Amino acid sequence: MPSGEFRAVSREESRCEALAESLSAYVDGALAQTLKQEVETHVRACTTCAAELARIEKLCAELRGLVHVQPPSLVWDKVRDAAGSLSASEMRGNSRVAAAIAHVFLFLFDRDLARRCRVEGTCREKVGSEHGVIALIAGLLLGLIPQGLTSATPVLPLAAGVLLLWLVSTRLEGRLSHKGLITTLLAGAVVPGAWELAHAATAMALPAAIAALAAAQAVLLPRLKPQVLVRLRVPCVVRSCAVVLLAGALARPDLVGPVAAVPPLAGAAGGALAAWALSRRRRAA
Amino acid sequence: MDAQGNTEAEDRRDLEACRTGDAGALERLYRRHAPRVYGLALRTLRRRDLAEDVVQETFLNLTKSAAGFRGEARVGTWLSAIALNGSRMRLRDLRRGALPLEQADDVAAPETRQPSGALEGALAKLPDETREILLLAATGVSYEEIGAALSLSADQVRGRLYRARKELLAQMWAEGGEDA
Repeated sequence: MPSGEFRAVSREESRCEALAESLSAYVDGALAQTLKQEVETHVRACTTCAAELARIEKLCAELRGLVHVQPPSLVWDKVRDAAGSLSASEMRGNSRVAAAIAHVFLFLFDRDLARRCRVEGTCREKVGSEHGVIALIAGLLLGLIPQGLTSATPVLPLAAGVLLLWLVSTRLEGRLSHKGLITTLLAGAVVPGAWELAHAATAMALPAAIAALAAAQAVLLPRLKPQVLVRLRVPCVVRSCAVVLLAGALARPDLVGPVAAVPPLAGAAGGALAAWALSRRRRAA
Repeated sequence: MDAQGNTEAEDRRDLEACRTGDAGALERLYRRHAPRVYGLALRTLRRRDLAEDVVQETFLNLTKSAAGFRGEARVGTWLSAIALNGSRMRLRDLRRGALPLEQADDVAAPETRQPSGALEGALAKLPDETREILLLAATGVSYEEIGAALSLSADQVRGRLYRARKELLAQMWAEGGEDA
């Protein structure tokens, strides 16, 4: 073989080697314009590289077919159901926070109610009416917070409904306690509960229970003698802590560890702190 | 290479809607991406039951992590990366014997059978990293996105992909099924 021809073949082979990796990138459309043109020019002149390029293109086409497979329809059903459960679980988690807030709120009012009945001898009907308002606010909290205040939450209709019930409640509460009970139940459980029910029935249980508790307090506490109310102070602290902790445990069983304990513990600590502060105030009075 | 580019805007909109619990948005995302997620899992695990678990897990992760999606990669690439991670974990469990074996090689079921059986066989014999890069490239994403999913630079992806394809062709040739 003449030396000139040998050099030409050798140069051609080394060109093939240099462009081998580029053939793969060419198939993926990942080459810069100049290198792409260089590959195209070379492939037109080199049958070996043209065959190699065809092999890679065919391989890639087959691989694309392999990675696009329609899953059985059953899989979507499972995903939909699991996503629904997850959403309900998150709502329960939010409900737990709402429950903690609402319960601390009610707890504070319990202390204030006891103090005012004992020290000031406040009219029971008026206290009952105030308690109804507290229950309504708790209901509002319970209704809004479980939705995470997202754009999907019907904030305005819900707020308008609760405001209406609040107006009715404050007018009726002073005269007829059983109507106050109905309105607080409506506000605390039905209004937010209906919205929750539309999304996940399981998420309703806890807010409804707290609202029912609030309503029961609205009716029962004003009927108790001041001395009894004062004696209820310690059991109320225990009850508040227990309810808030229980709410935390029940609401989000899939959350474990320190994170899950923060909202209920914060609620319980807040309740205990409030009890301590109020008992000091009462002693000072 | 950018076959899903026109759906990216829809993906982002649907992902945003998923954050507010929109089940319709989740279904649309599922319809667009489940075939690729399932395909990746199926070719990695070669078990239909486990691949279905990976699909379920991937889309549940999507609903949980939608708020944390930073938008650095495309939604499809993000899902592919989640699916690959899930597949890797199950593959590890399979090799440790932590998963039941009775349904092994279920991949040959009629609805998933491909004409290129030799390709599937050869792919299964490749090292995990080699198979992963080939499968990710086959989903039609850029080298940068493959790199992001596998913690590699785009140049490394280019080199590794070239070698992976050579290796796959050689494997098919060795099995006598390569007719490319």
